[in-house]
Amino acid sequence: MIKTCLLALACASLAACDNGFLTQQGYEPAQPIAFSHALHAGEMKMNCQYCHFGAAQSRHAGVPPANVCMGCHKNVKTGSPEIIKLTQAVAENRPIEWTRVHRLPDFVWFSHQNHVAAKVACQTCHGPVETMARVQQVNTMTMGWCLECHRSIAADPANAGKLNPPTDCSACHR
Amino acid sequence: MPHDEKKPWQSLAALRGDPAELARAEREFAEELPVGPGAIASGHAHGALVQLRSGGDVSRRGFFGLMGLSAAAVGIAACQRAPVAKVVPYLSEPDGIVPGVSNWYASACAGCDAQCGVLLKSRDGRPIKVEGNPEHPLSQGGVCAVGQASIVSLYDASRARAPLERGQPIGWDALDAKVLAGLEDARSKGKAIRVVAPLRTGPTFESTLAQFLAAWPGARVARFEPSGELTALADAHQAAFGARAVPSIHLDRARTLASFACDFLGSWVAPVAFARQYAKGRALPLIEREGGKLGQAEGAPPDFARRHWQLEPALSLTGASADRRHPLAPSELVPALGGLVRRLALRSMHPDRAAIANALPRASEPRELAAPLDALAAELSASGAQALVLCGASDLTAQALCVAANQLLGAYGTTIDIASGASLPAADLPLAQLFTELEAGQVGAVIFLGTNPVYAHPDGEKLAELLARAPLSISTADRLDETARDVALLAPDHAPAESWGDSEARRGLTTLRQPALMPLFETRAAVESLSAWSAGKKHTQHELLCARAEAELYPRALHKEPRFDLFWTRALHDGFVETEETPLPASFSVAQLGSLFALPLATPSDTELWLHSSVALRDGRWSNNAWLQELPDPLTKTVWDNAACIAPARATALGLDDGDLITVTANGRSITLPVLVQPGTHPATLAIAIGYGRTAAGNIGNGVGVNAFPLLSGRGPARNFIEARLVKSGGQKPLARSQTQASLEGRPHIRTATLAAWSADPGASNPEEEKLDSLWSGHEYPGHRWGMAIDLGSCTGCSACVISCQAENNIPAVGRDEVSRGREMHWLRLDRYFAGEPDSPEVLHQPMLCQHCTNAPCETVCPVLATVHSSEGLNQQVYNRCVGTRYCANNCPPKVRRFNWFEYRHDDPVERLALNPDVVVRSRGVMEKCSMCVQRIQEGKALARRDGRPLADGEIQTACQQSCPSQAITFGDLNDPNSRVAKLTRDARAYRLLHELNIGPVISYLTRIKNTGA
Repeated sequence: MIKTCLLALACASLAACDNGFLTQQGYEPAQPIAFSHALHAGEMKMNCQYCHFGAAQSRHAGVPPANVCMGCHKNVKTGSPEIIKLTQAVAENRPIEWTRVHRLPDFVWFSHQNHVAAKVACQTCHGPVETMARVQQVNTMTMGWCLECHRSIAADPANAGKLNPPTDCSACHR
Repeated sequence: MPHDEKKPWQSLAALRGDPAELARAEREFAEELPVGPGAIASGHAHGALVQLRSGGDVSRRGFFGLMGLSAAAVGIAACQRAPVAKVVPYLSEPDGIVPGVSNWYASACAGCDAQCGVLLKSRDGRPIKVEGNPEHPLSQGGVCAVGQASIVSLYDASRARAPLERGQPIGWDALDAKVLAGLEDARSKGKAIRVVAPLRTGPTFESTLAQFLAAWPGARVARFEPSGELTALADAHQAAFGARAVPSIHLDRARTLASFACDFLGSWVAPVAFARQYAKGRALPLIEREGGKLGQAEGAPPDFARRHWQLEPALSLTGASADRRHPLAPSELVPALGGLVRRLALRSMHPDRAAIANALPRASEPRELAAPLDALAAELSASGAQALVLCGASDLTAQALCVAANQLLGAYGTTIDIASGASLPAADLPLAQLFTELEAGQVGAVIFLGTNPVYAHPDGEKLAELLARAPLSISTADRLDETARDVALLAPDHAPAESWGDSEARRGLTTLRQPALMPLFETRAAVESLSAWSAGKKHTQHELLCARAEAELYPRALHKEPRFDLFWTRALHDGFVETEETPLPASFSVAQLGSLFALPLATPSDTELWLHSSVALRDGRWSNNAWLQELPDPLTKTVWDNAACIAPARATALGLDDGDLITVTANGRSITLPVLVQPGTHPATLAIAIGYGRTAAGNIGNGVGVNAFPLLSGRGPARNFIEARLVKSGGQKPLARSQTQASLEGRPHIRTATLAAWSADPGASNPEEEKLDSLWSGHEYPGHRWGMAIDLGSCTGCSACVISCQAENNIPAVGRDEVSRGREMHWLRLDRYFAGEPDSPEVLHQPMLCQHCTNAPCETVCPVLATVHSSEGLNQQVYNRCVGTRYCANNCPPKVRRFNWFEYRHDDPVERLALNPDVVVRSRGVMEKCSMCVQRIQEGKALARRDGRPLADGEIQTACQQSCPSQAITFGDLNDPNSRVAKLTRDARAYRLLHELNIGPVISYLTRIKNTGA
């Protein structure tokens, strides 16, 4: 019993090494409506911020409200079973409960707006979403992974005076 | 033990060198933890009455042994994926709401009758913070502690959620039907219809009430104001000038200011506006000092030798700021004022001076005040129109004498003005008559419009019984308060943040209130209820306000717009409307005024009661607000209680000490409450705060303190002068007080100088700091370096900053018992110091917060590096790394770190709406402290970055800075030599704490300068 506990604790400490063990990397949950980014963002080349318009204004990129979908799907492919799920939800006044894929712990404060303003491409952190039929978290999104980028950009002399990603604790932990 | 005149002391016990007190001061954290293995805290954060389920004493070692086991269990439990979370967007996102971005609505605060202009910061359609409206002409961006705490009163779980009939739910339509039937019944039977309304409401409220009265002829309104301060003021001015109004006051124009028991900085009439004017009037020029050399004076008002005299029975917030303070008994207020008026009449050129002098009451002034009154009269006369006399007593004779004094000085038109005053409604029905009518069974219907006389009237208990005799009784209170419990129908009003409304700040300035959220519950605005109960069409609160605005405000607006909707959009954006108005007709009549001098005087006795409003609770309407209950009173440092303040000499004579229970009897009624030995109290005075002792405020406010209202006399004009008897009733109730745990240890934390000394040498009482060697190589601050300067001369101790910080940073209220253990969670506290004799000491306030030291003692001792230094000069506290060793707090010299001893839960779904989503809620076992509002700093920087421009000085404001009515706190970038904070830091008056320790704080304090000289 004690040995098992010690082994478990050893494993937990291994997770601190950034190999994805015990992180959300690879998480690809099913969603209530089978929305395909590969189709919309990939084939149709829709801009990420057309739907996720919160990213440039706020810390939350947000999931688009149903009225954004209905902008097209009031008329487009209204017979498809997945679209019917959408229109039914709107008709019944029932908000759609998406399953959250990327979620940082409560003690982390992350702002999309800062990163969009610094012209970080969405794919840098979220991977090639435009190829995903179902959204998957491709990166570990651990603190070490965030700091890799922050440190390397701050260290690059070409960025001096233009980009200054913080490495202070209180930038994200407040 | 003789003490140094100048040396400050913190409490009487510390002054005496009490060994028990000093021993207690050595331990910040108790060695024996009063928790057992099964101890869990419960209670919600904002209501936070922390209850301990404890299993007896356990030593620290045993406690950690148990914790070790559960730590291992936590490690194993972590071996799984994060729980599934949902993200639920809108179906149709409203225009203008972006999750994560705040919307700001200009509105009016409802903390007190002043109704200052505020901005409500809203997130996702609900307000989370009250900030001042910097453009409002009176409050100019300030918000007091009560205003800041009003966010919690909005999300009060004890509010009524639906209309009730004798405690049972009833629909609005059914309620309206019953009301109309009852009113019609009263009319047909010839019974009286009576309304009890607050004294100061707003123009739309008054016009809607007028419509109701027109619909039910014979209906009459009685006005109820628990403290009575505005009533006396208005009555005196009505007699003197024929204008029933609150005069507009300009303290910034007063060179000499005499206050007779007037707490204008604490609770009287409009404390925020007065604090702003007061600070502005007394602002000193900045004179830099670098290496012994003085720079040029910057920003001096032309004549800055202001003097403030205070004569009062008990120490008040205003008295603490005064240059000269004299205690006097309540019965001596009128004779002293009379003596002043007599002296002023001798020096005045006013045509009515002889008539005034002849009409004066014959009472002789107290002998020990003769010389001070001579000096005061001389100074006031020398200042002429730039003088001002104020009186805070709700006594008609005192107010009348005050009017006479100002009239003789020629102050009307300069420092005080009745022509631009805010009108108050005429006194229609005396409340005493309502009692008589109820008793005689003449009342058919009585409506209480948000008034609570069963609690706040001295004969409230009697009123409760009498209400049963009225066939129809209604209350529009927001909860089942003391009065609402005894009426038939409760028609609950919206919270102020859910309401449309207006109020007259002064003639020609109307403050507008707009809601910042949809009503949380099934409540209805009181004006809508009145409208529904009048004959004809029912109007919504919005319609009523717009109708009046279009009819009265739009035609006379100072800023003309071509259409009403354009005018209205701008008005709502600004939060106020300025209109062109004819001055209030006012003509001075000596005869009328003189008649008030002849009212019966109070007889002196050896125990006189002085009932006053406390800074936190005022008249008791917000008793169910945990933040206000836990706000330490700036003068007594008590929380969650009121006490009878008594002079030190008298206490010794009677053998009384802090916490001893006494029974006070006055006007035939008695209350029992603990004593507090308070320096600065007049020996004959027993000072007790009203607003406590509620029985139906809600689960937080019930039973806190003792209700002092019954001790007033229900009849007659004199309210504050009450002869009382006090008897030691035996027993003790230890008072919960903050601050008195620590000791000054003889160090000069707080510095003052006289104006004369400062004029001769701006660095007076402030030796220059010598350069000290350091072990550390120092930090580099390539970008910003955040710092702060706090002007102790402007700080009045009002504690608005404390509550603003609490609101911004999700700081829990911990309850009475925990505060008495020194575990209050306020990140920013106000330390109160006395200097001089205990009978009438000088009072000094010092806001104390994390100093963000350059060589922080806390950073070097944290075993897990949870507290580290940022590249911009902040001492960061990383909550998720903290394991709770408390070594940092141990090492902190100013003791500004607060430890979460318990899990302060936020379970209540209504109360948790007040939380700020930008700041984490800390869990048990984590240390926290002032973060310099790092979330606001980041927000400011992000905005500037987004807009592609550099940050402007003053753009980022910490929560404490924003709220301060006196603008005593300045925050900014020390690396910018032209920023205001950098200039203040270089000022000759600036000093840092504990320089000898070389901790390098970035907070500078500016020495307080008092004009006490001859």
